Amino acid sequence: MLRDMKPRGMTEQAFLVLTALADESRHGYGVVQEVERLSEGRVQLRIGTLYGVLDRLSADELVTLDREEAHQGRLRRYYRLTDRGARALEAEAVRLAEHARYATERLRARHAGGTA
Amino acid sequence: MSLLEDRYRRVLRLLPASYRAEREEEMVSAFLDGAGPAADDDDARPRWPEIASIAALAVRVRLGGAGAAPRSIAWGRAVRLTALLGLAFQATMSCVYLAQALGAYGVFPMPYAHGEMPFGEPGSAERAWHLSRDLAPALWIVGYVALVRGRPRVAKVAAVLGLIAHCADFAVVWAGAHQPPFLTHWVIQSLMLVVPALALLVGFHRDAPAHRHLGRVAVLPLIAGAALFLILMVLSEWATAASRSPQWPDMWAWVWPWLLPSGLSCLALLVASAGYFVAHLSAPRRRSPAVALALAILTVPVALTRLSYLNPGSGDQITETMNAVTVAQVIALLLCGLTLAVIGARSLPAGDTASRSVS
Repeated sequence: MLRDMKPRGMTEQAFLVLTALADESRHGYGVVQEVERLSEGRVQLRIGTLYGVLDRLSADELVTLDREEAHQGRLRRYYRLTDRGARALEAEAVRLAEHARYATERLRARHAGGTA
Repeated sequence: MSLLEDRYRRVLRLLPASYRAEREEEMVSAFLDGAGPAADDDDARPRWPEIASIAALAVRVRLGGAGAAPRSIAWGRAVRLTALLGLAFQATMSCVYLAQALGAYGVFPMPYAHGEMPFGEPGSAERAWHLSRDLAPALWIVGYVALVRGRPRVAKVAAVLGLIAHCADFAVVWAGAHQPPFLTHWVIQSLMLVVPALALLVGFHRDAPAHRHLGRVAVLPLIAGAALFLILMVLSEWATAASRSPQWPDMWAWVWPWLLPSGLSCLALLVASAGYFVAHLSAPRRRSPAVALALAILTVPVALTRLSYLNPGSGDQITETMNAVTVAQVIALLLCGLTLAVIGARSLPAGDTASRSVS
């Protein structure tokens, strides 16, 4: 009676979190800051949202715990991208770049047609 | 501990204890990092968007989110099944309402059609309002079909619009009636719509597994609705004929409480519960806490709605008969609901340990 649907695509939030962890491991608020910077302020992750995304990415083994540090008496957990996460991020980046290329080509053709 | 930290920890209590045991310290740290210098301010409080994000996370974690404990996953299934079964019933009833509306508007002949459009002049605002009100049940059909075809977002939008239409209908009746209907009665009856809609909104979260049912599952309530419409038409004919008899209403006082939407829902739940009990006893391997819990959840709004029809102290025999039937329905629902809840709770997977590997 039930059919499993094909896996859902990566959300923008997940894509940005993976991108934030691509160059170095970061703690929770560090990821929030980096995502905000990467999206030029457009995406502001709330803490509940961030940990929901991290839970999902951890369950899919795309990110993993890197280390724990104490900072001003408080626990900071640093997360890093796994090899699987790097491959997933790369595949998604290629897919988005393809889409962007198609859009650019068609817009160029449209502008060329409009000026002809 | 600063006041703000204490307040953040209170917000985090929305999360299950097992989740907090793993995440609380780093989440508090992230919150306080984000608060910056305000962290030492006595007036600083968690912002509403932060609280909302934790509440949403709490719902996902408790209802089978990513890496959730087996118990939470089972609860998630139960809540999603509550939505599915509730919407299936509403879709069935909506077919009946739509068929009645189409008959009243003369789209197809009805045994009791009077050949006139029911409300307002053609093209008038009154006609448009009644038409939209009469077609609003279609939203529940759209919601159900969307859900079984793997489109929960469409189902959520349809269910919310269905609830808005339901409230708007009541508001217009309330504003225009000389004797406004009882608000409490309406609120209780609305629970039969609100509970499945709420289950739909919270149960089909981002991490919920995506399933698409076969097409025939989508059609089942529509077939059931058409069959129910025909049965109700035949019963109406019989009742009309019987009303001319000196013995009227005779046995009909025993039948009416089953023919209202809540009566039909009660009947459907009792039959489904009986089926579950048989399956539970005969096939122990296929015992599912989700089915038992979903049916138990659904008995609550239906039992409350049936109770709202009680009219004690009226004195006449017909009302007393209908009261007796209603009390019997409520007792049967409560017994089934309690038994299902106990079976469901006992069948839930033990432990509350999530599979998040963060330590």
